[in-house]
Amino acid sequence: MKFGDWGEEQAARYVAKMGYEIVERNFRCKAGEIDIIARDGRVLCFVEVKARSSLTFGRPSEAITKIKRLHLLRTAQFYLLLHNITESETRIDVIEILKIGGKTYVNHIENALG
Amino acid sequence: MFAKVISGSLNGLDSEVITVEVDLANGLPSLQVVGLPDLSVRESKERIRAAISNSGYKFPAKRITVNLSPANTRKEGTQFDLPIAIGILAASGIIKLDLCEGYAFIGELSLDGKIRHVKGALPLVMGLRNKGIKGIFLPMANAEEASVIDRVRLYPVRYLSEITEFFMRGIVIEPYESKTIGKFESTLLSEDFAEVSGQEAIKRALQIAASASHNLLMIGPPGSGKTMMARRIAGILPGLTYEEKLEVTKIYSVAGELDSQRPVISQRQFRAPHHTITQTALVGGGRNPKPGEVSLSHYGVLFFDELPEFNRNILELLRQPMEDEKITIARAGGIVTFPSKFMFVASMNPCPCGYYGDATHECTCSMSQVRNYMAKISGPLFDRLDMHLEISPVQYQELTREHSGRTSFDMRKEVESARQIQIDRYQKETISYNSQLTPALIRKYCGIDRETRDLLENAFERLALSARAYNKIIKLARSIADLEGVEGIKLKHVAEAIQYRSLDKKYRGI
Repeated sequence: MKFGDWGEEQAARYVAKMGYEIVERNFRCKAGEIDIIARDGRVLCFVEVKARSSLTFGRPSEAITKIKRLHLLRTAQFYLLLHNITESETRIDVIEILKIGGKTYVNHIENALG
Repeated sequence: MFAKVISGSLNGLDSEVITVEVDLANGLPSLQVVGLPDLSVRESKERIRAAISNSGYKFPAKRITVNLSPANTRKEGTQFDLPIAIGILAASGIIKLDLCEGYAFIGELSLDGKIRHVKGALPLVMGLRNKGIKGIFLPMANAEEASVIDRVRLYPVRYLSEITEFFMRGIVIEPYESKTIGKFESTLLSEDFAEVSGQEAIKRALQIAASASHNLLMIGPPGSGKTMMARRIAGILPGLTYEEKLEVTKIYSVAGELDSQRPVISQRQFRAPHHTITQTALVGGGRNPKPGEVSLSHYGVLFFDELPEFNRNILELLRQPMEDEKITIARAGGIVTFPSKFMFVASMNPCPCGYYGDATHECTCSMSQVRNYMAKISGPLFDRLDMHLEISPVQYQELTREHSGRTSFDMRKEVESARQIQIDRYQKETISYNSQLTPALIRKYCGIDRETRDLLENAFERLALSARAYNKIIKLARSIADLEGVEGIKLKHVAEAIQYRSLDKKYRGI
């Protein structure tokens, strides 16, 4: 398993533990990809996972560029359109996974683009 | 997590207090500056990020919003780097926020955490002091410049880490003690009138001009010493008062012309722009207006060498600042007014070849060439020149004679006493020296006797003088009398004054 996929797995376990109901994993379309789509009560969450094994190149969340944000937003909008979801509250989250020295740190940024 | 830090922003020669608000929120790491920041302020993000981490602190991985309040005025300049950095450090808990209260911060950051020189430190510090700030952190390189004002403690800093250590570990930063405050006095300029051989009559005329800030034009062949003498005029003007020095230093501070070598301006300035000068460089301008040469020569001398070489539109631009003693510039960045109370000195050759009217060389120009050359200077500008001095070349005997010419020091002493007479006389008026006299004030302060009136009448007709020229002659006569220290204007004063206007006819009348 690649490190990125491992990170996504960790994130999925984390949101499940937090009581989220996972709707879909690795939703792909022309606009981009969303790692995890999960329901937090009434709110539909689109989760982008960033995993890193060192801090040499900054924090994982710092790797989310302007273009990546745009892709996330577009993909989420496409998902909503595709499933004809108009009433639900939505949110875009980022989960940072950091694996340093055998320890794994998870940082959940809710509503990261807001 | 929120922090508030005080800083300042320039608006012309004045400054306003700016509150830098910093908020840290959860979200993707970013740094956003709002409150109408200019490009130089928006770019500060990258400097701040690098400076904080290179000073050994952690740059918070938060969504950082910086607001410069009041948010409706444009903010320009690099002095916001430091307050924003301090705000971020305070909001992220590295500095305790309540400790920063009552202090203000100005300074540009370099990537390694050094604090660098900023433009306009003096007006910024003055503005902050007037708003009751007790201590100001500012770059070491600006400390001397700002230290000329009192009632405020200045903390000079070289590194960002010095400030954090001051607040967190109590490491003392000594408030800055001025090194030049004692020396904030005029010393004579290095160029002395004693070096000018001969030309005693012209030196006297320049002394008269200096005593009342009369604008003047020197006409003479090449090599007669026009430029040499013009350079020395600033040295015989009276010393600047504290307020005047402060005003001039502020202009230079805003123009970015001060550095650690020259932290304050304590002498009358001599500005000699080249004739290729642009309109903006002369009167000031730019998106956020900067002072031009007319303001940089405030209380000093503005010298135009080879006057006809200047573009006509450049010369016409001078008229308004000369008349109003200030210049108002309206640009996208706001409307500002800079003072421009200068003594205008110009020099020119009498004709294209330079030798018209010279005793030793033959002039090769045709009459129409001479006329066209003179016509390059418009009548209205010519009118504003109080004195026209014809300069002839130095004689050989005078050139080789051992210096016995008067020194600038002696000349200045006389100028100062003449200026004092004028200040005392015009105490109740809005003017302070003779060249500012209006026709009404001339009637009040420049009474002349019968005999003198006859001479003036004669001159008026023979020289075909204009009404304005007539008034100028009386003003000049007033200055000549003041230089002599006598109250009543006598015949000889008026006779001398007429000499300084005789070019009206000789050149303009042809």
